[in-house]
Amino acid sequence: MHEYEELYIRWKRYRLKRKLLFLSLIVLATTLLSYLYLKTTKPTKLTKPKQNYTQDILLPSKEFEKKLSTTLPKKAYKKVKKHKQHKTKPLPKPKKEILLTQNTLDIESIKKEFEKNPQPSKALFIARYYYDKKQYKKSLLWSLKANELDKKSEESWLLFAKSLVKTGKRNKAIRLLQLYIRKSHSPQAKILLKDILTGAFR
Amino acid sequence: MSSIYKRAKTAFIDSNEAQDFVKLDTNIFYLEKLKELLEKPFKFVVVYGEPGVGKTMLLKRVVHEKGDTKLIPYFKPFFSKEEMERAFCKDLFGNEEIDLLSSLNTLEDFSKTIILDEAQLYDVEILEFIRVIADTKKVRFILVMHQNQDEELMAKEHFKTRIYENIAIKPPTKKELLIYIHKRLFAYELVELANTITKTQSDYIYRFTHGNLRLSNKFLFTLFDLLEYFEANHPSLTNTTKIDKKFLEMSAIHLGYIDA
Repeated sequence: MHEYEELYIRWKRYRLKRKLLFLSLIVLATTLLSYLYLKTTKPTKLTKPKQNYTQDILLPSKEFEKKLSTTLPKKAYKKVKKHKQHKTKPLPKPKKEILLTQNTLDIESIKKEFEKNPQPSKALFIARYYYDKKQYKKSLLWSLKANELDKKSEESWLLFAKSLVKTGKRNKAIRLLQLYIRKSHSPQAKILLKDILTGAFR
Repeated sequence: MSSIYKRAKTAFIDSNEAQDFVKLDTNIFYLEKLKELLEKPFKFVVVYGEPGVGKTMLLKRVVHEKGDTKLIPYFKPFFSKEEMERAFCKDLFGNEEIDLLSSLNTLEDFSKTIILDEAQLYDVEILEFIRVIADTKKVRFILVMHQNQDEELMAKEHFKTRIYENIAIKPPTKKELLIYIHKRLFAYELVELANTITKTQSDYIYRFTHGNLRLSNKFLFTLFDLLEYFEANHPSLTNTTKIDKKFLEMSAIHLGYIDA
């Protein structure tokens, strides 16, 4: 074999060695860099957040509250308000429950009192309560009770008529009011009748 | 193409012939410096530098450019005082048998300049003989010697008070090596091949030879020898438009610069 043929084989070996050396250097450098990176980043993760966390949260939140009351534009305030309403939507349930229980307790106590001592004012109070709560059948019942106890109670007539309309008994309400107007000439009853007839009150 | 590489090889055969002298910035400086010195009255001028840096070729070029009989160069060393004396008698007076020292008086002051190459090889006896001749002020000497030799120190010490000027020859710079390669190839009408030698390739050679012309010649000779062989036997490995780096690396391996 010619000496240059051998030389060519030696050169190929040399190139292979160089490539391997180059690759191992890259691997070594990458390993070293990643190790250094991890070494430098880990302590900051452990230490910095602890310090900054409290600072970042406590300090700006105080200022934020102050700014809310003083510097926030109206639009932004409205948005927050809306957001709050949206957020508190699930909350009304317990509120309602509380109110209802309180009110039911009140209503129940009034009802008990009414049972003990039936008075038209108590029946009218309950009727008014149910009418406001749009429980028209109940308001119809209790306004009738109030009317039975006191036929002259105009409010019981009007509340009864309104409850009739609300329960879909518009014609009956009209006939009732016409009857009442004939007897009492109540202007309030006339206005209500007119509203029912014109459709202003539905 | 292989004939081109063959011619390129001859361009880098290490010869100290004056016509192979390549004018580089530093070479021109040394050449002009020596030509100037020849006009001045001196006993000794010492030219020194690393082996292969181009000292001998420089002196041959000086002799070639001056072209007069006042310059008597000896590029081969003498091995005895007697041998040297006979040579001086023959070249100065045309007669080996005359008495040198008495005959010197017939010459005009500093009329002859003897160039002694490889002066680091001379022992104290020969150096003393040279000193005696120089002291007659009829003949002066240009001593060419290696830089890193003990002999050099001895010779310089011996003539310390008589040395007019020391000229240290430095190897060419990286830039000059590229010029040197190009000029050598141009001299052999290998312009296209010269254009394929880039600065990167020249710098690669410089890495191993440090600009030493003898070593650079050897490197380039090997390179073109390899190219010639592979062009003839493995043409697929060669490229006609450029010299592949593998051939430079193979040359470096072949010459022992790279341990592969």
